[in-house]
Amino acid sequence: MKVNKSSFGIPYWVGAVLLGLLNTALFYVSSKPWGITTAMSFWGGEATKFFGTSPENWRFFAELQLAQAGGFQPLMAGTLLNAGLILGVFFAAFIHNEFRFRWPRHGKQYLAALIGGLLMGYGARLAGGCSVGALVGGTASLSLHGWIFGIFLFPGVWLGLKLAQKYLY
Amino acid sequence: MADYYLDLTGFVCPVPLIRTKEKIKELAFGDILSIKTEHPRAVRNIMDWACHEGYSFDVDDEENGVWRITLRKGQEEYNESQ
Amino acid sequence: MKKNRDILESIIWAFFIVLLAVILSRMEFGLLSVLVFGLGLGYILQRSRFCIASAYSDLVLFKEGKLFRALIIFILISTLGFTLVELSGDGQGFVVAVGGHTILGAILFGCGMVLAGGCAAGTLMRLGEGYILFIPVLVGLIGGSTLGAYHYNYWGTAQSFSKTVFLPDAMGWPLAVGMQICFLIFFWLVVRHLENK
Repeated sequence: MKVNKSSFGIPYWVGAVLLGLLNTALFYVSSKPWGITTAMSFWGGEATKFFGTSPENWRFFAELQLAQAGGFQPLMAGTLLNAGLILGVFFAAFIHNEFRFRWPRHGKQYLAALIGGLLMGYGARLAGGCSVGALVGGTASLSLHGWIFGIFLFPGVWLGLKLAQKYLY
Repeated sequence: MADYYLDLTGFVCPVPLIRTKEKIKELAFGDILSIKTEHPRAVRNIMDWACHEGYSFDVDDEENGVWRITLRKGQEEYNESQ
Repeated sequence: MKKNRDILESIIWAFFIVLLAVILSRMEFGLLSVLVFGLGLGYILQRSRFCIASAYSDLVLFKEGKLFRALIIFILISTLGFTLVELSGDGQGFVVAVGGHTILGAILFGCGMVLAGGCAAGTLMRLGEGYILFIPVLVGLIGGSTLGAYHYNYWGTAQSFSKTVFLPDAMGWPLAVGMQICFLIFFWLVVRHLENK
């Protein structure tokens, strides 16, 4: 079936405006900007309990619990948000006949994916948020760390592209 | 006039556009390149790039989540007859 | 014509999501409103093919800044919205310490998002679209962010030495918001200029 060239989804800027409005409404309702990786730290922290650790004593979680006392629980709220996001994407892709299982071409893509994920997760904890939490949420909250994060993503992306062009593409 | 085919299934961005740009260099003006991809963002990426270069193109929805982009290297209007 | 329909659908969907979430948040099971927001954000991400990793890599690699300019618009709208919410009294934004660890973290994150092919939001989005490749990315994200949280015992100390800079405290609300908007517009124009070259 022919795809209308101008109708392939919605334009980026319309998406950006709608995402900005949703982000604002989310902030209004939950008093916390959109973030993704904090919940993932909680998942991993829970998983390490199998090895006999006590993540609730880790400084990261202790500080977070202190800051969030009485409000939205970061674990539950973050998990629900992430789950909702995946479901929302699935719904959008499904009703527009775009969902399919997509398999990568080469085995080495899996390795690059795992390394990339590890770097992202660790970097997010160092900088205080991922590209959504720190760059969008932090900058929009008028925090300097959002700007610094956004600017220093460039050398990181450049380095990643060099590595990827050498080993991956 | 020759037809070329590029299978980009299984790649995520920015690989599809890199491969497309590499491939298009091999083409002579008037040749047709047919690209198959499953990556929705790559479709738009390639469309934006083709618009910028002034290449005429068509996008077909082959099956769920698979697209075929047919583009012609050249500036003239592309009167396809598929 | 069909383009308008897709845009209209997305706007109606976003409106409906906000309405439902605000209603839910006033009720007993307020936490469910977050799930509803997830649905809305996911839908818009998928339809607009938004991806922060591509925004950066397209600009660096192809000098294609359309998506990056959209990212700036996203930040601009969020800035205006957050300012309104914060000034109306409710909610404390996301302000953390800034220092060398921010720079190191950003570089690691940028490198990782190119290797993985998507940022954190992009990973969840691709999972929803059915990409098998993003399962190891998710595993890596969870592992990395857990290790990061574990090492926070150390990094947290480093962070407590660096300053938390909340711009309105440093220069007052009107100047902070005004300057941020000017900077965002400036970067928008810079990207636009780079693109045309």
